[in-house]
This record gives sequence, structure tokens and C-alpha cells, in this order.
Amino acid sequence: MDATPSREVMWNIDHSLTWVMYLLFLLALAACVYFFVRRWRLMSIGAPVDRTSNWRKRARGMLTDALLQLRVLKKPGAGVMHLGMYAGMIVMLVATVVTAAQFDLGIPLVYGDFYLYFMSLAVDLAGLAFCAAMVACIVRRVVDKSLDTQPGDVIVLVLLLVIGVSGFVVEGLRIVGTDDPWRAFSPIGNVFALMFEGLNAEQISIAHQVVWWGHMALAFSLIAYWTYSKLVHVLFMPADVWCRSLEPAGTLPYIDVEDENLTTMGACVLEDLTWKDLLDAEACVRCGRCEEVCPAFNTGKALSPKTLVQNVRSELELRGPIVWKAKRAGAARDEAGVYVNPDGEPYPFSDADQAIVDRTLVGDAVPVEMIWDCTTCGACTAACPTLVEHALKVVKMRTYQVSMESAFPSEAQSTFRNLENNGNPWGLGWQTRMKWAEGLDVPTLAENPDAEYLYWPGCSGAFDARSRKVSAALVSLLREAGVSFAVLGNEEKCCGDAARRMGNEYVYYLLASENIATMQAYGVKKIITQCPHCTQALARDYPQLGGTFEVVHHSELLARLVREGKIVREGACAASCGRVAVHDSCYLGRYQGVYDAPREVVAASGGQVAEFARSREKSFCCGAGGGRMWLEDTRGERMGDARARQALDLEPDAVATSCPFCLTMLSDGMTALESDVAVLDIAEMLVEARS
Amino acid sequence: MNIAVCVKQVVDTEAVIELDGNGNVVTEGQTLIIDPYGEFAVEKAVQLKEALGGEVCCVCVGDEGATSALRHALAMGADRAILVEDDAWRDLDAAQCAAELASVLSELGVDVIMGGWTSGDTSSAQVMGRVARRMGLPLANMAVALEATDEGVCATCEVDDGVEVADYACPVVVAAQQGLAEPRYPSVRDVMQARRKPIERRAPAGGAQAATRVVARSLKPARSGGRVLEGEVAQVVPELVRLLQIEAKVI
Repeated sequence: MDATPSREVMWNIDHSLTWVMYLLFLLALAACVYFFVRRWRLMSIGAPVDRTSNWRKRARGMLTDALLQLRVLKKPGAGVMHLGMYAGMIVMLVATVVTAAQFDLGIPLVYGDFYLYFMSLAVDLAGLAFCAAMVACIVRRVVDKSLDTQPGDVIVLVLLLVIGVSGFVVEGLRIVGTDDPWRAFSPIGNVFALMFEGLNAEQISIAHQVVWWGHMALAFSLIAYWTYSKLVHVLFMPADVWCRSLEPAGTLPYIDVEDENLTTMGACVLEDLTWKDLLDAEACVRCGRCEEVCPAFNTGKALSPKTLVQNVRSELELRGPIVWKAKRAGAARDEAGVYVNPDGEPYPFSDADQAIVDRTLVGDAVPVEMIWDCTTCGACTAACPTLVEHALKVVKMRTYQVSMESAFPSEAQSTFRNLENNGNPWGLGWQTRMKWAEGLDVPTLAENPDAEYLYWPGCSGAFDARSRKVSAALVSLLREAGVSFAVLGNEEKCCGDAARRMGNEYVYYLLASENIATMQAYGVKKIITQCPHCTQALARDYPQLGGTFEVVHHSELLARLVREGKIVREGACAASCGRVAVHDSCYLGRYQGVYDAPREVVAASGGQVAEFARSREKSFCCGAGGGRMWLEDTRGERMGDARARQALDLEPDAVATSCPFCLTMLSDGMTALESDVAVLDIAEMLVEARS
Repeated sequence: MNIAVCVKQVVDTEAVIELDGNGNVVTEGQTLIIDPYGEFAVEKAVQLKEALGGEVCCVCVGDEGATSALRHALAMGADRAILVEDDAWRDLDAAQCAAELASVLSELGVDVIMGGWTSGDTSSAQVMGRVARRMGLPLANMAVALEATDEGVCATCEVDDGVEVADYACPVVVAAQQGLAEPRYPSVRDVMQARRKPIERRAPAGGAQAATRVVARSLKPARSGGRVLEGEVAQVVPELVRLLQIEAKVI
């Protein structure tokens, strides 16, 4: 017996038959590549978008968000199962490569401590983790009827489990057959070996050969089936994370509405989406995390972000090959949306193909209710292990529906007209915008052009009776802290956030460009906003139109002023304070990453911060984002009521918000629930605590 | 079915109105929109055209700025527009405006002439009636429904305490009331296409006599706050009834 620990690679296998193995491997690999290419080329029909530059940042993102599985682990149970199979698979893959390197390249690797601790012990434990994860997954699929289990899901799991177990059987037979002196380093294989102790040498040899070939055949089948099945996510998921948007959250594609050659905007048909959108759909494994967190889905609406993405995927698989062929032949869509050859003749689709090409994205592939149920809150993307950009697709579809087809929920029409005619969603006379400041002695920039900050109360802060109180509170706090500020007054227009996210790019453009011109004329550099939606528009949308300003939301400014000692509250506590449930606005939290500032302000006001079960990046939308503020909420439960109920579960003395829309929706929710728990803006709390 | 629609440009209905030193409404800086009643008429006309074929032509008495109201009507689906261009058009009264419109409309030879029964700014409710009278055509006033029949149109018009449904032979003047049709929201595609549709400019015919003379204009007094009656229900209720009867004169 050799003193160096090792094992004979390909023990008991007739080396003259290895060509069969190589042949099968090549066939499997060919199938794998074929299915992969077939999928990959489907994505090439998508519209272009730059998602590959800045590779360092992308590589870092892929490492943390995909390869280290940190996002997957956010969901404890299934996340751990997934980590088990993932880590197990990687270790076993490395071991297989090492073994192949020794056998095929003659490099002596499977020796010594490396053999004992890695190739035996680590691989055994990896195999155990892998098999345990598979069993757990199968049990989960069987037990949990709420899972969206399809045959493919089970086939993949069973196939993997059989491969894993048969691997241990092969190992056990080898251990018995060779009377392996190092068997203690293969604890699981050793357990299997115990089962075969009673067999004689010939039986072991035959059994080993049969199971070895079976194990190999199954493994190769898996390789062949890999890129055909959902397992392709092993490739697409890291690719999708690599191609993530590096722009600030919620950045929408820039559309130059002044462009004379602009013939359409938004997504009419599947291929109007970008290749990244299509990659998103291909990378989605229906894990359902988006659905679990989606406020629309959880209040009984038509939208499921998972179904939306899967519908895009089904459409890609139906339509993709046909469009790909036409595009490869040089055909392109003309202004009327017809595929024409370079010579101007319509591309000759068969009747069946034409029927598919005529399908539209909204209506045929995605139900129209879905795109209007979305509040663009972004909970789905925050929960998605693959960082699929759900809301972005929704906005693109809305943009086409509204801008090109004028198809939208009827109540949006008056909002659009009001924005066009009076620059605010309520349609109140634009000359009355400054009325909120009557008696407050607030200077306009025209009166005080040297003010450091432009204070931007937004439409809610100026016109909504409830939010006007917040504006007054904020003004008094700015005065208290000695902040130099002025307002645009009647020259301010709606920021355009709602218009843009409802798909009305043109009205957004009118509003935004006018605001930018006004602010640039006054030389505005810094802006204080009160509404996170205004913040998003001013800070992230306007730069696309040439308006770059330093925008600070009042929560951040107030927190800073408290920290700097410019606003001091000593031991004082607002009457409504005590236990304060802090609601995170989607556009302040998930979009702009501001979570701590509102909590600091609440704490400074003497409030004791109570966290929602769903807080911070898991926050549950009030129902008003993405222009939903201006649409009826009739399907299922009202989202604001649901959030108000979640607040009441905390038995709070008050609920704190930092967004006028959340303020409205949660207040309405409290009324609907017949609760008298006060819903206050953090600025109001800080004023109340002044005493 | 060929239809002509009279449209007017008005100051936005939510605008805060101001008067200048001469008692004229200040339009500088105001949001100007297509008159909502004319917009109902445009929508119905376009719907009829889409169902039956034909052409919709919009006619407007106004200045260069009024082309935005016409462009809006074109974006809604009207085919062409005629602007009777007169920078002093706000000084015309309903009789003169009707005369200008009638002189253009009589050349068009359309089947149906439509317009708003009143307008959102001056609310004179005179023009369509005067157009009908000048052209010797029947008037379906305050129409809330309109459909084409074999011989002409059938219009449902608001009258005191109900509606009147009547058949009219063409040509006919139909003055739209709210409810006739829900105006569409033109898409960007429609707006872009409307830029290519023709707007013909004409000089005013002039010569018509004004029927009215504006003596003065004044703004409505600002709304005063409501009154709250305090006290025992038994005393407050009779007081409320008394005030409603005697002061407010509503019951």
C-alpha cells in the first residue's frame, strides 16, 4: 500500500471504453451549447442599451450580489437550501475538473492532504449538503402547495438528487472494492460502503460499473438539459447581475421628444424592450420573491411581478425566433410597425407567424390591468436575487400606451389635462399656487434672489390642505435653524414625476423643461424638497434634460440640522409622540437610499421609533407611487388601508411619514379603519416637540 | 358626413381672472385652452366621421395664438381648420362673431355645423343660435346625444325638466352640451400628425353690426366664508331654516 493518500482514478472502469465517455460528453456539450445559443440569440432582438461598460464595478456587483449568494440568502429557508446546493455543486465541480486533469492530462493531483481533506472530506460534505438541499427542495415542492411548481422544477430536482446519491453509491462501492484505507475521510461514502459490505468482489465490480456509467449518463444528460431547463439561470443570473443598471435607482430611459425623427416611444411590441429586459425574463426562475413583497399582489390586484416577467419570457419564446429570423434577413420595423425588407417590401411571414408578429406587448402578452396596478415601488427589484427591473418595464409599456395609443385608465385624463393647463394634478389655477404661504411671509426667489436654497413644496405642499400644514411646519423649522431659502411661488410647476411614470413623457417634458428653465434663470443651485417624488424628478430625471441641481429631501436636511445643533429639542416630546411607527416612502427609501434620516428626526422629536414588520428596503407601498395617486384603487383592498393596518399592529401613538402621498394614503387608511392614530410628517413632529 | 365645428379659445376655466385698467380681461400669461363645450362638439364630430366617413373642418375666430386650440382639435381627429384671423377678436360680440362664422360656414356646404352651446369664458350662449338664424338652419341646442339617421340626424337636447329627442334634416346646426361626448386625450402620435394638417387663415369679412355694447366689467366678489350657527339644536334648526328662506332664498 502506498503511503501517500490517494485513490485510483477510474478504478474498475475499462480504460478502453473511455472514448464512449468522451463521445457522450461531447454530445451533451453540443446539446448544451445548442440550447444556449438558441436562447442567447433570442435576446439579440431587443433594443440596444449600454449595460457592459465599467466592468470593474460590474464584476464587483456580480461577485457580491450573484456569486456570493447574498441576495438569495435574504430569504432564510429557501436561501440556505439554495446555498447548500450551490456550494456543494461548486466543490464537486472543482473535484471533477481536478480528477479529469489528472486522468486526461496526467497531472498528479489526487494525492496527499489535498486528496484527504479536499477531494475526500470536503467533496463528501459538499455532496451531503447538495443531496440534503435537494431532498429539502423536493419536500418543499411537495408540501408547500402555494408554490408555483411546474413539472420542470421537479424533474431538475429529482435528476440532481439521483446524480448526487448515485455518486455516493459509486464511492461506497469503490471503498469496499478497494478496501480503501483512507475511507475515514469519506464519511458519507463510508456509510454507503457499509451497505455493500456483504457483496462479493464480482458483485461489487459489476454494481460499480453499472452505477458508474449510470451516474455519468445522468450527469451528461443534465449537462445537455442544463441550458434547456431553468438551470440555465446558473449562467443567466450572474450575467443579468453583471448587466445591472449602474445608474441611480429609478432612472428611466431618456426620450428626446423634440427629435424630429422620433416615430414612437415606449414598448409596443416585445422587441421594443431592451435586450437587458429580455435577459431579465430569461434569467427569472419564478422564485416568487417579487410576488411575496409586491403590495399590489398582496392586496388582491391583477399585478404579479413574477407573472409579468414570465409573460415577457413566454412572449420571447413564442415571438423571438420569428423576429430573430426576420431581423437576420435584414428586415426592420417601419413607422407603421410592419417588418419590411431593405427593399421596402413587407417581410414574407407565414400566416401563422404573422399572427404572432401582430401580437402587442400590452393586451396580448401582458394583461393591461397589470401595468396600471403597479406603483413602481420597487419592492420586487429589491427582493429579486437577479435584480430584474420590473417597474422599468411597466413604465416603458405605459409610455407606449399613453403616448402613442392614448390608452389609459379614464381618470388619468383629467390629471394629464390639469398638468398641461395648470401645472398641478388637481387642476387648480396656477396663480393660486402660492396661497399656501399666505401669512407665512415666505420670500420668492424674485424677492430674494440670494437665498441659498430653493424650497420646493411641490404640488401637495402647495395645494393639498393637509400637506400645506407640513409646508408651514417646514418653513418654521427652516427659520428656526436660520436656513436661507426662497420659493418659486406661482412659477413652480408640477415636477412631472407622476406624468412620466404614468407614461406621459410629453407632459413630463413640458413641465420639466419649463421648471429647469425657470430655475436656471434664477441661478438655482440647491433645492429642498418635501416630496420624495419631486426629489426623484429633480435629482435624477432633470439631469437628462440638462438641469443639474443639488437636491436634498427635507428628512435629510432636518436630520442634518439636528445633528449640527441648529435645531435643538431637549427632553421635549410632542403630544402625539411616544411610540412612533416610521413608514418608509418607497421613493425616499428604496429609490434614494434614505432610511436613517426620518428616524433621526423622529428620535429628536422625542419619539420612540417602532419598526414595521416590513420596513426599510422591504417597506410596503402606501399605494400612491408611479402616478397611482391619481388613479382609482378599486381592485382588491386599498393599499393604504393595508399599510395602515400594518401600522396599527405596532400599537403606535403616531405614524411618521416623510412623503405627502404616504401622508394622504395612510391618513385615509386610518379613517377607513376607524382609528384615531395620528399620521404626521416628521417636520410636524419636530415642530410639535418645540414646546 | 361632412361636419364643420366652431371652436373658440378661452382662458382656462380654473384661472384667476384679472382686469386691466380698461376693464378688459388680462390674457397675458394665462393658460389658453380649447373651449370645453366646443371640445365636446369636436369629439362628437370626429366620432361621427370615424363611423361614417367624411371630413371634419374646424372654424375659429381668433388671433394667431388661437391656432393652439385648432391644433388641439386637429390632434383629436379633425381634418383641417380655418382661422378667421383678427387680433381684435375679443372686441367682437356674439352677433359679429356669428356673422364671421356664418360667412365661412356658408361656403363650406357641410351637412352638420357644430359648436358649443355656450363658452367657458363669456357664457353668452348666443353664437350658435345666431349662426343658425343667419344661415336659416334649424338649431338643436344643448345637445347631449347625436346620431346620424338616413335623412339627417337625431339629436337629444336638454330642455327644462327633461330632454327633447328630434330628427333634423341636414344641414343642421347642433350646439353641444356637456355629456354629448367625452373628449379624447390625443396621443403624441396624434399631436405630431396634427402638425402636418392644414390651417387656412382668412381675413375677417367685417361689416356686421354689434348687438351689444359692454358698459363695464367687474370681478366677482371674493367668496366669503360660511357661517356656523352655534347653540342648542332646538334653537339652531329653526334659525337655519329662517336663514335659508329669508337670506339665502333657497327654500
